[in-house]
Amino acid sequence: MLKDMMTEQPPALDPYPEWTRRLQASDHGALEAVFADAHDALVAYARRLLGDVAQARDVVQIAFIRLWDHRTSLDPERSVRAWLFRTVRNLALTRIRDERNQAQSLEAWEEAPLWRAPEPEALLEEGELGRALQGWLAELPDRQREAIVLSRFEGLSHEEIAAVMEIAPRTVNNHIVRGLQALRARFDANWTQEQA
Amino acid sequence: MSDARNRALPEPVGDEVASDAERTALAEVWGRLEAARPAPAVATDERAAMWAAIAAATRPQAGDVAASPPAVADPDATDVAGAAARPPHRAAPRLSPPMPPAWARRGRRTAVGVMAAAIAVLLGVVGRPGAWEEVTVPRGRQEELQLPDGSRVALEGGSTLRFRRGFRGWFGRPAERLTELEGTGYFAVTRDGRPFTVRTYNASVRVLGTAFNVQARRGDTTGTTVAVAEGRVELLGTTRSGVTLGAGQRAVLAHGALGPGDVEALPVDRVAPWRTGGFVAIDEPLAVVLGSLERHFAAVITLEAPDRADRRVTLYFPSAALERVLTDLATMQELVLERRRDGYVLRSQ
Repeated sequence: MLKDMMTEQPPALDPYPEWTRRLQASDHGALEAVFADAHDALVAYARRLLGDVAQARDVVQIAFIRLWDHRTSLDPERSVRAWLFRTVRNLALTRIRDERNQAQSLEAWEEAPLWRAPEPEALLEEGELGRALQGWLAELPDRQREAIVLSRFEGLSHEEIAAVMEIAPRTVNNHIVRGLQALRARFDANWTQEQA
Repeated sequence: MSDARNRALPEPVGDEVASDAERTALAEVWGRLEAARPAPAVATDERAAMWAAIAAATRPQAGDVAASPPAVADPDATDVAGAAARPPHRAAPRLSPPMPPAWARRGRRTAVGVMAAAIAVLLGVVGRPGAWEEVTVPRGRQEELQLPDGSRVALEGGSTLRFRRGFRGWFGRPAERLTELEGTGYFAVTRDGRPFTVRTYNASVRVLGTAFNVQARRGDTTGTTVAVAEGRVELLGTTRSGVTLGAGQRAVLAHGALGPGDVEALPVDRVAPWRTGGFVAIDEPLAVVLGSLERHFAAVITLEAPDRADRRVTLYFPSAALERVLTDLATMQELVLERRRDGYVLRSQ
């Protein structure tokens, strides 16, 4: 953590507009650059939605192939990263819906959670705080949690999150603030200074 | 991704709240959320594998092998990985003459297969009922045959299928249609009221009427893999415990029992990509993947990096050319690909 803070740099110039232009010009190298930058975050995001890493990788792979297929109709003014997150989100939600429909036809319909908390060992920093925060995050309303995760863990801007979730940037902000307030309340109630 | 953005509370959030105290409180939660950041979901070689698959599906002229033969290194060349990573439209230097066209002719092979199948079925009709019929497909070929009940089986090169002549036993019509498979086969099973069973060395697959792919080789450590294109099948281990698979699902029975957690989703077009000239391997040891490639392309591939034999790889090529697959494999496994008179060698850098 300390090392991180010491090496902290001012944010670099966003390379995405350039990549978008190159993608439009069918530059395969730009696809590779976008892949290298966004792949990990997309898989992590898809895995949160689907709860399964194989499925997560699958939808991410489809999203990148789709990005290439749609390259000529991309809007350089809009974030390709947000486009990818939105595509992954739609693919994942479609799969969850299909899964539910399948389950419905076989057994009693049971609402599968839209959000699956990662396995405890999947947390980078093992420890009770991380686990507790994961639990509290999982209890938030879906939209608040999604906005916080996209902002905090995937590093998307409010505008990008708005494009992914198909809501107004203002609403994104409301979701994040409400979510953080709820987390803060849980934090204060459950986590004393000594433990932290 | 911009890490700096993650560490501070984003501007608009701070603006939203009225008091400094609350802003500080929210900023603290924001900072603490770092503890809940999930670990990266993928290992580096999985990322490389996915990129290889995406690159294969998106590269200009992907699959158009004759028009742009992929670059392969001379034994002396060292920059194989670099050459391979370059997409072909950037004119990667061609270091060797194009492959002999043996592997490029795969499309015509099914016709031969149908003839072989016809002979097999004919033998089934005139032969002694109840005896075992055996069909073996040479390496590098692909054959399709019709079974006595009208079900069809496509067999990959180097695979063997056994079934009872006429699906009849010594004492009349048995209660099930039994086949035994060593290798890879895609089954399109007709309904005739009796279950249809594919037995492998460590598992059996029972169906009524459906289409599915079975892959199992004694020598491979991967067990029996079943992927379903249509309908439902039951995959049973030797302990008779098993799972039911529906369309778009696959499961691997390595050893012992299977549970519902072992069922994975799979796009239907990937159930048997080998049938349309593609190649797929999902989380299989490198040595096993190279064995499949050898059978698929009737090639000789040597791995001169024994420590890599057990490395798990995932590959998907909707249309595969041997050199393209090997080049990408070499890149992602950080191996050097060499073409020698007697075949291909993948060795450590």
